[in-house]
Amino acid sequence: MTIEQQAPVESPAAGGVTEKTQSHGRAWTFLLIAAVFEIVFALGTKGSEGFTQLVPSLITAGAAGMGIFTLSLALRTLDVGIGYAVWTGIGSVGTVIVGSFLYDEPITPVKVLCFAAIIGGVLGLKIVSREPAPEATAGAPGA
Amino acid sequence: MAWIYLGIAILFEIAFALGTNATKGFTRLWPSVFTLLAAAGGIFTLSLALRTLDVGVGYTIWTGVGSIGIVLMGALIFGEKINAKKVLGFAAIIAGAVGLRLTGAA
Repeated sequence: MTIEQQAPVESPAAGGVTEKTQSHGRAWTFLLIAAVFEIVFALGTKGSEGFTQLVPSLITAGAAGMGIFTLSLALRTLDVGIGYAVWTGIGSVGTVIVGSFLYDEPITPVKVLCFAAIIGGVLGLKIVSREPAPEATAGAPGA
Repeated sequence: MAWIYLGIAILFEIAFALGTNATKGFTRLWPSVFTLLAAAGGIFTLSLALRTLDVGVGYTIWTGVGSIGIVLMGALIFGEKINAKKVLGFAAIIAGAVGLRLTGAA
């Protein structure tokens, strides 16, 4: 998550901002990991064929558990509205891309347009969510 | 009846997300229990709805309406700020996810 460092804006109140920025970067890392588990979960659900296949079912259940856990770690810092939208958004994009490799589904222009909307929205929320949130300064753990 | 199940599944999904937020990384017992029950309830009622509804449509409405509800309830319960830029971001993600699901891809 080195992208964090690019932010040119904040010069005053430096101490607090730096600490929050690091914790913020970690939260987004957890959120991306949670989205990867969500992708494994979605593809695993398909592969488990209605939870009749043992190994895919175990992978699916494990991924679901880990996805929810890492989401909860991200939400210690991020707003739940943002966290949930990004989680399902990236999960959708990843599921379609990985699924198209696994199941030979074509990636159509419409899908690419949807990818662009989701990724644009995610990046937008990532930038916007850095704006001051007074509650976050006090509690943010593990920075 | 399927639409009622879908409505209940959406409420569970909203409860699940808000509950996850309240668990503080699953370090709190009762929010964690609540969250897991809501997740299970949501998946179960969604599966009931999907016995009749098309998966693409059911899933789309589930997470799409769920996302909107979670943003609104996050603002109400946890005092999260909503502004025009955030609404734009949410709208782009939800529109993209709905589009993907309606093309039958996700």
